[in-house]
Amino acid sequence: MSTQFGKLCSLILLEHFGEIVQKVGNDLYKCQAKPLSLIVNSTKLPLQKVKQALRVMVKYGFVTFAPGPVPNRAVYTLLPEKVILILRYPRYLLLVKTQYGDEAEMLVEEILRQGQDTASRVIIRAVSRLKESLKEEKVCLVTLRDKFATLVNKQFLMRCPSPGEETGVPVLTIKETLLYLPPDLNLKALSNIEEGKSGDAGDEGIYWRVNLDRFHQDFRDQIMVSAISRRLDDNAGELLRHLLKQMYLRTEAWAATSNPIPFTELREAVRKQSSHPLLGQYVDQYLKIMEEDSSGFISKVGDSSGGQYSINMKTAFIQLTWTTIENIVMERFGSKAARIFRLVRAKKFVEQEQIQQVAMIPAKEAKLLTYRLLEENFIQMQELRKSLSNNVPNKTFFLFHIDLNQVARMVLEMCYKALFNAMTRREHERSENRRMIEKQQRIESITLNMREQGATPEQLAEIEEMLTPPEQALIDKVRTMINRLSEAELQLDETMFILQLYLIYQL
Amino acid sequence: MMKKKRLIITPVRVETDFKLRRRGPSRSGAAAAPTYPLLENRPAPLQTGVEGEYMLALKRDLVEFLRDSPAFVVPAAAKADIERYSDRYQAALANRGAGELHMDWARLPQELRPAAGKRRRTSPSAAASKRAKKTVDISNRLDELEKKEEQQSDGEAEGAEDEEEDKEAEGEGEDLEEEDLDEEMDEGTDYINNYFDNGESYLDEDDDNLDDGPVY
Repeated sequence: MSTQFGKLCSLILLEHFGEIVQKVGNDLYKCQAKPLSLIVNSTKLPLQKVKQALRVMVKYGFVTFAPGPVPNRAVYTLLPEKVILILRYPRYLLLVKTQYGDEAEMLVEEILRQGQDTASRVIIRAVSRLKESLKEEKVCLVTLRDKFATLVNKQFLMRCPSPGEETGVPVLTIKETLLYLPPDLNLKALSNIEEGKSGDAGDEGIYWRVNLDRFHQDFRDQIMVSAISRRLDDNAGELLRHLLKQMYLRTEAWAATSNPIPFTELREAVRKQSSHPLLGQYVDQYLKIMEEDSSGFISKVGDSSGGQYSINMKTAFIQLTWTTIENIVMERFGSKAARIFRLVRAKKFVEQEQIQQVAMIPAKEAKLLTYRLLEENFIQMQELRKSLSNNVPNKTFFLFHIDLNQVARMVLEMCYKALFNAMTRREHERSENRRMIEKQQRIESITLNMREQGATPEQLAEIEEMLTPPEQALIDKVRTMINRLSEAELQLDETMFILQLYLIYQL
Repeated sequence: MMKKKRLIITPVRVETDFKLRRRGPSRSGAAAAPTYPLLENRPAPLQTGVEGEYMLALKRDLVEFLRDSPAFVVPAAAKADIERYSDRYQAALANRGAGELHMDWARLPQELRPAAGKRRRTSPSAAASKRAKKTVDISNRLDELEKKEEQQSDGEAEGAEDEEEDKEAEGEGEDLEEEDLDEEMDEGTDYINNYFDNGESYLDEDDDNLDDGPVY
């Protein structure tokens, strides 16, 4: 947990929940766990506001509590990694939309917006929003309920643990079997509630939240499949997708290496699909290529039943991290530096002179680039002495090498910093041009009103002229810049995802 | 030998150089690193596409939704010294985020739940009844005192006890005055009284409770 990470967290809280939550979050970030009274003391905020902020953060799952040393008083802990995930919400929604359709997306979005909620309330809100957006009178409750059940069955949604009988500080627990049990909803009562009458949908007290890990699992698979598709071809990607499917049948989702998958079963699965006819013909060849490829995504672990294959998740992400960092070096320092970086990686430990010779770069330039990489901490230096005494002149070797774990952490830190900078800049642009943006919004709303009232085109044109051309140009410029920065934030998150996953697999 | 030694020194110096430069301004004679250093290479272009735009819209929606929801905790507004015309609009804006968070309070530690019991005690009706009782008490007291005064004029023997009672009566009379004053102020801006009453007694009580906790 670094300062940079804390700053980013605090900025995200400010943007989404306001300054009070930000201050409480900052305070909690600095320590492990804190009771309410100490938070009030150190933040100097009114007790009511601190309570409100804590309620919000508990609801969204950013803060957990546990019974503290004083009876009936809880201690609160911030989970900063959950806060950062807010930036990933759009990606989750996009994934649900592409895989399960608009209704499912709406359901997940409603839960994400509330942090946690009961199934009935989520469905009702989704119905009203769907009606609004699709301008349809008929939105089927049954479809939504079924979508909800599907999402639960696929483990995208999970039950929140429920409190026990304790007074004071509740202890939240849930049985393993209940975690992904779809809700039993009373449809009649649900439709009653939807029409504005009272009713009991029969799920009071059962709260649902989004299982973000399940989404991460899908992202991981997507990344691996697209990596293989890029490296080999679409057929290979499809084959990996089948392998992953087979893997889930027999292996826990986050295992570093999958249990062996027999070739015969894989071939059966591939034959059943019809989208890639060539793949059916050449399954064994594709497997062989993938296995021999230096990326090491899959490996052959046995020869029984036509060959046993397993997927190496950990190796895959080590490879992906190497590639990511190589690309970063390439973009930052140029292709010659990238060549040196790859060389050091391949040789593990290498001397300066050797780098010059093997990389085929003029001595001076090679030295310059190596030292720059060293200076920016992309490569490390190891000193080797023949004897440890300082005053005796002896031969010392300086070997360059790369500590991937350390470099990955550093790059992740750079990502946090870049994210922080992008967000700060975006806010700055927005506040600098606040008046202009507000003016434009006002004009837009007036135009909309006038149009509804059936104004003539001349009148509309007159209103639009309230914004002078230079103002219009400025607004367009600011808007493009803000959009660009937001988009950069979203794409930075993809890099962060790979690096974070690498670090998780290293543990 | 000398030549070799020099060779050794170079990389070490690079490293110290780097450390010094990172500390920036403290290095004597060297200019501070610029806040916005020039980029050596142009950054790689962003990927653009329909998906990106859609995610952008989702991101914006989320922020807007949270801004308008009760989850966006706004600081208590400072009490205005004078009433301004623009206040009306600002009040409307501030109320946007008002409203309770939908939540099952059983899932929260007791200290975070909106305490129903405490609120009842400070509710206006309770306060009013308390006040009424007080006034009745005082009028009774005054009657009693009047009687006593008459008695006293008869015989000025009793001293200490009565004086004490007098003092008490005076004190309570002051209380009465204060409360009357409060009420007068209430009439124009109901808001201030309510807020003030609730907030302060609430806070005091809680603060007292909190003091019981250990000091770390």
